[in-house]
Amino acid sequence: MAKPRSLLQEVIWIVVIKLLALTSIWWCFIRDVKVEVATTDTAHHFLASPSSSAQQRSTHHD
Amino acid sequence: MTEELVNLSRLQFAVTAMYHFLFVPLTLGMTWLLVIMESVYVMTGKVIYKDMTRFWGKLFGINFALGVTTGITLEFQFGTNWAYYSHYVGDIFGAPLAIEGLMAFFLESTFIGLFFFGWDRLSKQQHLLVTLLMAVGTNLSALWILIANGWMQNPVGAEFSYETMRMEMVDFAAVLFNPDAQAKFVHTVSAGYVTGAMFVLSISSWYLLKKRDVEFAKNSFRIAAAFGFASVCSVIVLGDESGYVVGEAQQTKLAAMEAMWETEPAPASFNLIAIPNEAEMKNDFAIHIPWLMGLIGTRSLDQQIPGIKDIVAHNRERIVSGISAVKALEQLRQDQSNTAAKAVFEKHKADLGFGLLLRKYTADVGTATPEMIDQAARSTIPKVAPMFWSFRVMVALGFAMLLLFGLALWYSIKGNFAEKSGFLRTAVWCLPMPWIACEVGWFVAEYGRQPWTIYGVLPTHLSVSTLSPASLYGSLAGFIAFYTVLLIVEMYLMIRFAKQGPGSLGTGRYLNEAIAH
Repeated sequence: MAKPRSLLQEVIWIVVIKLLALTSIWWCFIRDVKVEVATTDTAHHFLASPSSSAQQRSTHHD
Repeated sequence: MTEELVNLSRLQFAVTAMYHFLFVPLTLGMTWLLVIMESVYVMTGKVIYKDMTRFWGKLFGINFALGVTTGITLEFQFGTNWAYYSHYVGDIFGAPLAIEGLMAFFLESTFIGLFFFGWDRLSKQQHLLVTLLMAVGTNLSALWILIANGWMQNPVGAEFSYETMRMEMVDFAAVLFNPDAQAKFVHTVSAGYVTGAMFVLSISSWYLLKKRDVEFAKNSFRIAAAFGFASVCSVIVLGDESGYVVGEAQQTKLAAMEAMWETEPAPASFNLIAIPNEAEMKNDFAIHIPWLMGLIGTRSLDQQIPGIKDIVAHNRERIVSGISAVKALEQLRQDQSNTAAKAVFEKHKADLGFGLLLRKYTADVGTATPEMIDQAARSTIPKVAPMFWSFRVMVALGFAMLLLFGLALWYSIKGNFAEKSGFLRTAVWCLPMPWIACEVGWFVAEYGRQPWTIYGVLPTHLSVSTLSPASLYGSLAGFIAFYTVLLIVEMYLMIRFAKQGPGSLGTGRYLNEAIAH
């Protein structure tokens, strides 16, 4: 008759399966998806664009 | 960015965070109570303490499961609703969140599994170690989250880069040992311990009133009374420290919390009760306690605490300086070799965030009118009345709980609490107190940081994603509906198991053994 597995063995198996599952998910769905850090977008969002800046300044002076 | 979009994004985060924090403090407190109960079991071998650990552990488990569900969506919101915030400060803010997930949450969730399923597989000492590591993991989790939040309140150890248009970490140790984060951590976890203690104390009191499972309830009551009293003392002392740190780093928040419109000669008086008049920037009515504010806020007799009017005037100067920073930054974005622009930017970059406040009023900060600058300066102070009263509600509840736990401990020492039916009834009715205190405390911390997401660095109105208000209305309604269902499920399960009592363990030693094997 086979000896029952110890809790430590079971925990190790669960952690290994969990890591394999997470790696598979990353490999299949996330690995090739890169998010560009869009510096220009932030600059555009936070600062006045040169054209709008010049336009506003001329309106202001008129 | 429309005002409606900003307000909806804020509301969505506030609603989900407040729901989440209904679960968190109980988790924080219950883990240490379980450690205490199980330690007594291991030391004395009395099986009643094992039953206590298992029964209160069951209620803890229900709360933990639902708490995790509500927490995950908060992290997603940084990407979905606060994309510009995430880009601007993700380099710093993301680090503690990632460490929390990889280190603390993995530790906590692994040991929670072992806590529930290891009773018959581990020795007494091994199981106690598991419970202890579960408590450590839970509290470490709070530490990393509060390091992230502390940085939002007091952004140290980071610098803005005009090349990447984002804040970049320059000193991880400064972020880690940020006084705001440390003060918030100890204050918040202590509040969690009070919540756990109140939960056990109230339910035990109810059993005692019903005269059921009396020994079980008495032992639980004693542990909750002692732990709760120590914790509520910590909350008050550490809350004072937290307030002192706020006075150092966030003068606007302190002034709003205390409805201090004018800078008084040191030591400033404390407004015990006041009716703030926002329009005229004064209190229509106030009861003062001389010297107290100066002593609490500066721990001295000779340091002044700036009033709102002086802070607004100072912030106006910073906004004017910030305009130069924004204009220089615009030039640097056109030509990064522009040394003149670089020199101007370096001189004014500490006020860049203040200059960006004007983006709410004009597309081109350089064309801001004096009226716009005045408006932006006035906006640096959060609304005073909600801050003033929320803070007082939190403090009043803190002192009420000090009295309650003080009496509970006194009666425990005298050993006559089971006969004090009036007190036991009061303890049952006091159950919601720590939750209300936690929620208003977070309101003071977060609403008091407005108009910033990162204090003095990033205005809230520039942090939100460019979503449509319709999508926010839809997702907000979805969140409210889903979280309300979760809350009802939690209440149902808690009430069901609490009513069933330790009999739900099926040991044959208690009443209501309906689901015993």
